Amino acid sequence: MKDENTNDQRLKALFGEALGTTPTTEQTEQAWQEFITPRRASSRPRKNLYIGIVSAAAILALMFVLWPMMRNGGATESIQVFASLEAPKEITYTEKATQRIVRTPAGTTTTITLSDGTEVLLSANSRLEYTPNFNKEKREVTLVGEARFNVAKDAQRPFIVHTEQIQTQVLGTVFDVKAYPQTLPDVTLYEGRVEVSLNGASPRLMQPGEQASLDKKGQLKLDKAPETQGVWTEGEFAFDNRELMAVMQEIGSWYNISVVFHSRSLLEERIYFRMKRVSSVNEVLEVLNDIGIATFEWTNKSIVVKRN
Amino acid sequence: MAIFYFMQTFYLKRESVSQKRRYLCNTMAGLSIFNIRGKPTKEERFRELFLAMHPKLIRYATTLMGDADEAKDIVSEVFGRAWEEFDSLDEEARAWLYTTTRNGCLNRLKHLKVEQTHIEAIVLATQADVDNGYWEHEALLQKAEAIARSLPKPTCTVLRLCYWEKKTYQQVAEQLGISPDTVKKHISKALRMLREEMNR
Repeated sequence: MKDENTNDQRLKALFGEALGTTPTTEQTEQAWQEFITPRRASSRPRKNLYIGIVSAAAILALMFVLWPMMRNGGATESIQVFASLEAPKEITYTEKATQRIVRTPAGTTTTITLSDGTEVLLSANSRLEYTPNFNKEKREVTLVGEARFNVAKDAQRPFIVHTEQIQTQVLGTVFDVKAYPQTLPDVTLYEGRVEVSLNGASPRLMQPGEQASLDKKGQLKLDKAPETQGVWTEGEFAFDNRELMAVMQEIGSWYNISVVFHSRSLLEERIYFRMKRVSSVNEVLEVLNDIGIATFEWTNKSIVVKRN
Repeated sequence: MAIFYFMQTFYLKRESVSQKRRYLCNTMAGLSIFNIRGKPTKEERFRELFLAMHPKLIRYATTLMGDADEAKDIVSEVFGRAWEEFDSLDEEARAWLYTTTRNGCLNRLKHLKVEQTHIEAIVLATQADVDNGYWEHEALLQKAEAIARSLPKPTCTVLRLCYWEKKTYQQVAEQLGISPDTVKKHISKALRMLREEMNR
């Protein structure tokens, strides 16, 4: 009896762990920086404050002289900002018990009309799971990836979009949800009102034009949405003054190719970029290379971004 | 109740310490650019291990502690030790990390004066993993993940609330507007599936 109990405890803990939240790639990267930085520093001699200051000044002076050389010759960092996912070769529709699952391959979107009249534009490399006939109390769907929802009004039955971390609940409205695995998710509202929550806890009401996302600590925050946010539904990449990391995550998730940065400082470089999504990866990279702030290469199954 | 209060105040203290630490880290970050090219340095090899295992250990420690901040501190100490002892770890590194994390959690729970019965339950539930070097742990975890994917959404929600967020059956029942019996039914169904999968 005791054994059985112990075994159940173990299984319960396993379920807890299996359904728990895994830190994102960004969070892990940040933890790594916090871990390694003091350890790098402490390996240097530090006899007293005065010598410390003098040597820091000397290092700074040296850096100033050597910087252009070191940018190319120094150790290479690898920061993966998007990891390619398992995706089908064409749009697939599968049934599992009462659930229907639609999956899109790289570079392709599809429109799904649900039984209540709600329209879903499912972006590339994404997966939507729903019940063909919603029940009487709720309309619930589960999304991995990105989609635009144009929800049919039905005051009696809230429409809920579940993703791994963020839940969005609405009565009738237009909004985007983006939640690719291992990247920070976001929700953008265009019309109406929605409530977003982190795994069901303390919901927050969003206004049109706002974007909900997670900060580095994993807390929900609301900001003004980038003006170009909704353009993906028109088949375009459009970024005005956006961080290169966000740009490359979007490009990686569209073509389903992993993206690795070899320079931390490039993550926050901002660029303006517009291009049709029907373009090939090479065409996109060519245009990015022409901007001149970095080198973009497609090698070994990933896009590598590094200093020129 | 008293324990809960104690833990709360404790977290607050720790939080401010780790914030200071974070601030220090950030100011130091600009100085860390020296590295010599060639075969992978200790830092590069350690980085690979860190990126692969840190998220897993955070999740593991969070299930044991029931608290993400505590988990972060424990895992960070474990990696600190791993850094010191890296040369002697080699292939054993993963098992060592899991075991050390588990022990770290148990020590911390003792320190926090959590009820002894709760600690003993964790000791027993993790004993099998320690004995077989956590080899089975990741395989079982994958099975649990696969089962979770095949379960209906409500069952997953119940499991997550009970065993990740550590709520009582009663709290979960109230939150979801269902009866405690229904909560138990969801759980026993999932447990049965996992048990069958394990015996296969």
